[in-house]
Amino acid sequence: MRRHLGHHQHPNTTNRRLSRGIGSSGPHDAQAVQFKDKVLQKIYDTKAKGVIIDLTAIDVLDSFVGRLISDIAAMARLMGTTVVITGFSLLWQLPWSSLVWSSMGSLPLSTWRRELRSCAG
Amino acid sequence: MAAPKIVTIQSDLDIVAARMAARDMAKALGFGAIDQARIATAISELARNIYLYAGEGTVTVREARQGVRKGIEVVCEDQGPGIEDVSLVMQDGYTTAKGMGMGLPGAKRLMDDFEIQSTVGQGTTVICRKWLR
Repeated sequence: MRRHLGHHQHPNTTNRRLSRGIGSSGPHDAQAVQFKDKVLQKIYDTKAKGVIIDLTAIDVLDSFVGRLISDIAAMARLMGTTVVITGFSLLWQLPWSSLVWSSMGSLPLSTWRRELRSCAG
Repeated sequence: MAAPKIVTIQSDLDIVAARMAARDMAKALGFGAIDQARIATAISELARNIYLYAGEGTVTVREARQGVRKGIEVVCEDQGPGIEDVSLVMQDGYTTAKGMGMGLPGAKRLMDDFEIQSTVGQGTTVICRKWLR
């Protein structure tokens, strides 16, 4: 997640960067699994109503990452948290639709800016 | 002609190295951004299969030529347990507990040519190509 929220951040929203240390080549599998655990722990700890997952740091959206994100969303939903995906690269749309649509098709895709606006009410 | 690149797959870090090698080669050969993403995604799936099911193996990325056609060829080889029923694993939705059930058929759709050879107890070789248009 990006940090530069500046003064526009709503007092009731907190922004925590959980994906620290992912290089330009994208995360390897163990990092991705750690990310999932961290997100779910944070949801539990903070009782967050919503989570925005920004995929900008992901270089390749393969079935492993896709499954991980849909797993996060499914578990978050069980915990009463809405998950919104941002940073879904246009470049992935064709490869991803060749690979699979079904699991992530149910997730709301959005832009970071639009989500910030809605968080700020 | 771009030099072939061989990536040894032994850990999940090597999956990243393999898809980067494929993407770099695709870029050098003149593939557009979407095809680069397709190729990188397919190689990510195939390299992960090596890591998950065989433990180790190699991914070789090189230039392919057929007459006037130019493209990229990726060979994924392992000496793992092999696949008993290749037609079964090429079906959409077939999965072991580890996967999502779209690795191999998904990789096939992302590439132009896709050949798989597997012998139980000896290993699996996947050769796939994508051609420049």
